[in-house]
Amino acid sequence: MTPLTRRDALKGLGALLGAAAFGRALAPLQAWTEGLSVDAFLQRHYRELTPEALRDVLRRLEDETLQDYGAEVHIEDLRPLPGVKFAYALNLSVCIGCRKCVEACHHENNHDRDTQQSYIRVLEMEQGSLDMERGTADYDHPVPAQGKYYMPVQCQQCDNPPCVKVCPVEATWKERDGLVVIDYNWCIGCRYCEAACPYHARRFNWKKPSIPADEINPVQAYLSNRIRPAGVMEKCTFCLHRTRSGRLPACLEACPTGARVFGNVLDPDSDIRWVLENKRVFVLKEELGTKPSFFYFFDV
Amino acid sequence: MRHLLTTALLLTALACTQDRALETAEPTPPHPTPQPEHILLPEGFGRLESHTHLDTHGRPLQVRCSTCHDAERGQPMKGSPHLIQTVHAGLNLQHGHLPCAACHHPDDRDRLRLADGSTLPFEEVNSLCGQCHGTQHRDYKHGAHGGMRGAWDRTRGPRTRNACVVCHDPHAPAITQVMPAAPPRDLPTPHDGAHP
Amino acid sequence: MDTRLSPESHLTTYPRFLLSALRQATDGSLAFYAWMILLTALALVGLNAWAHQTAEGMALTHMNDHVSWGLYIANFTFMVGLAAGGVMMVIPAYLYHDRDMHDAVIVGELLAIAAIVMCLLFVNVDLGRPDRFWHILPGVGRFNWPVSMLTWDVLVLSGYLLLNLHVCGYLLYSRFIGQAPSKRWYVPFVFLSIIWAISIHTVTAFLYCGLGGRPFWNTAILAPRFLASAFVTGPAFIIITLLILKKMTRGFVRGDGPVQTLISIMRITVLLNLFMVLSEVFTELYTGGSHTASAIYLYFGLHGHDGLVPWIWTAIALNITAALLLLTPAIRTRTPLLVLACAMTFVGVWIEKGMGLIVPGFIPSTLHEIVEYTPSLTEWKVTVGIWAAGLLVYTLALKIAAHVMRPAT
Repeated sequence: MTPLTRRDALKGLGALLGAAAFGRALAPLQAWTEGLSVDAFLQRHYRELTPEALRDVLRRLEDETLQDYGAEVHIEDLRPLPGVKFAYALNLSVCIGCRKCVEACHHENNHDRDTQQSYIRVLEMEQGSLDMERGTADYDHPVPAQGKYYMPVQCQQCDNPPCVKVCPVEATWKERDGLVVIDYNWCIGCRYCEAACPYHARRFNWKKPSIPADEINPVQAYLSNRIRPAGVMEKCTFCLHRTRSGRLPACLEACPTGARVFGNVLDPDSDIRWVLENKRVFVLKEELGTKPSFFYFFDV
Repeated sequence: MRHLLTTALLLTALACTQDRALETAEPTPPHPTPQPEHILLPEGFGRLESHTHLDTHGRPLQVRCSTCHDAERGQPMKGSPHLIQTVHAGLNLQHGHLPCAACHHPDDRDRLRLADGSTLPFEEVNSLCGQCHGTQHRDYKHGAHGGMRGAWDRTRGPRTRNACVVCHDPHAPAITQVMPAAPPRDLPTPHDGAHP
Repeated sequence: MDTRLSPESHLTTYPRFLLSALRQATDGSLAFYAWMILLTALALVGLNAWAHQTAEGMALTHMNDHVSWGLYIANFTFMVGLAAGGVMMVIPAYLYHDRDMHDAVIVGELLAIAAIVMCLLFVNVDLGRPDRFWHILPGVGRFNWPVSMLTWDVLVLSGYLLLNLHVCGYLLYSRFIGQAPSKRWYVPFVFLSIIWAISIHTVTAFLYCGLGGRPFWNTAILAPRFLASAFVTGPAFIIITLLILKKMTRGFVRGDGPVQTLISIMRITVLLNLFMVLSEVFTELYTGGSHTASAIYLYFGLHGHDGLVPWIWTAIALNITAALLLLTPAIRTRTPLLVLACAMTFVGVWIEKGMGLIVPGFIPSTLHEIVEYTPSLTEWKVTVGIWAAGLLVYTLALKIAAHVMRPAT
């Protein structure tokens, strides 16, 4: 053993200082880690949870909402209905671009108030063109404007969803009723799905959503409108918390013109089936092979 | 290569067997018969609102048409709105070249009249509109025109639908312009509204 | 020299090897300490910025739902290239039995290690939920392999890191105990790492070019382009390293051979890279249509938005100038010229492959909205921090290697 030299002592001091600086640099994480419970950290994927574990998770999430937002909410786990596959159609001849659907989505799905987030984006398009390049989403003048038509775009619930394919951790998947859902407690926030989606349907929670307690929609489901944590992806689920219990999606009910048609495509008597069979429907970016469950049509 | 891929796919399939079966949801028994469809009419439709008198709830008094237009004291129906100088003066009629009697029953003012001469209560106004606007009426009947609320399948619950006249003023049915809800606020840089 | 160590004695020599490495890593001249302290300080600034970003949300970055990947993923892509390019010099050394290259090979492999470490850091700082990192671990979490290209990237990048750690560790340890390395234990791994180097950059290109919704990336030439540019930046960085090592260490790098070989490689790859960029630009611009919007945005600006135009033309100017400089005969003798050419093309490719490739993929968005992106201060801090951390790893690794590999006196 060589005796302790001055140099060694200095090295030790340097290492100590370095460690202290390292700790200081990481200090902002302290409050963040305090907000993370062990249960939340160790929670398994939604599809692996036993009914009991899932029940505990739902109660924990309700408690967290009460603590963080001061609102009493009820979070359910709603499953796909047997014999049901959802589809949506939108009549472009009737839509006037009023953004009532955008607004309804914003409130129904407990979106962040600061960014006015919504799963729907309405494009003001030029008559005679389907080129989105010539459309705008931030129009702010009386509608419908002369020479324009309006195209709301939201998740197309593709049957061949590029977003599901790319997810490295299977945090997003397609359910039997056609809905593409996300386990917000499994998503790692890499945003690969956001890059893969050709319809700008996915959103990232760049910060913790802020919503006043009295504006929170308390009717919530695990896979849809419960308040999302920061740092994870979110998307339209055709209001799964409503539609899986038989109700129409919020955007449809908000539509004053009835441009929106929703229903079970497996039911031959449904409205949606009538539209698909009798209208000249088309899908967005068909050439990409995504097979959307969302259709557009013009009146003939 | 193909084998390799198949094996890989099989392996992933195996890895997923830990999933609980999510597809066996308990079926919600749909109602055996379709639930009712309620047709929503505009407040005071088929009546006249008084500008001077209030009812006991403090709301403008509404009177039935026959209050003035009864069989004895009957005001004969004018052929066109600009001939009206008293109560209904200033009525804005922009609906093709229709005379009043195209829709209003000349002898029974509390009802409407179809083209075949039969009478129709105000509540069933949709059929009257449907005489001319067949495609819209057909679409409406299939849920592809007009706002609605409630269940997406009537075996799962009732539904409320707007009558045609909720959105289209029968005297001037063209949709007027409205200001849209606020535009998205997630564009950090100002976006030029009009592309060249 | 031929006396083989018994297996038991490795138990004592290996810790001695590690101890000596630690000593080398913490001992040095004043300049060395200054350099280390500078890098540590920058790395800590980055760490702090990341801690803020994680605690307060990624709203601290300037990424958004339109441009959802930015400076981090741009750097990640570039670093994968550097990691792949690091192994470039292994090819002539082993395939063409270039004796001179053999000793310099370790420099490339160490660069690969440092670059991969940076790659992993860049991916991690881009995650919204770093606490859920375990979800991506095969077996523990849910690994969407083989469908998700990102899982392939996880596999090839960590595999590449292990491969290079093994090769470098083995070579250095053998040298440390004074034994000739047994070919059986490293030559197969070296060849594997050459193939693997190509795979890491191919998979990373597939990550982008497999997305049908992003026409700017959806091109078959992306993987070849990535490789061509990797084979520019890798040698460029190693040339500079070798020149520095020649000055700073005694006899670790012998002769001028490796640098000359690398110049010969770069003379071709720099032109190849430019040619591929040209092919891409031609196809885009001559075809026209809305799928060209991103390329037009990048090179000329679109509807008055031209944030990336100065960047990309700087990159093109740098790359062309570097290519011309490399073609002059003087480059072989005049060191400053060589350093200039290497630095220029390094920066040129960094722009072209980072900001010039990742960001325009999102502009215009899939609904053809134009939202421009400039990195925030947090993003710059984190990025500088990771570069500092990477250089720290690289410096230490080189210092240890230079000490172990020093010629016997």
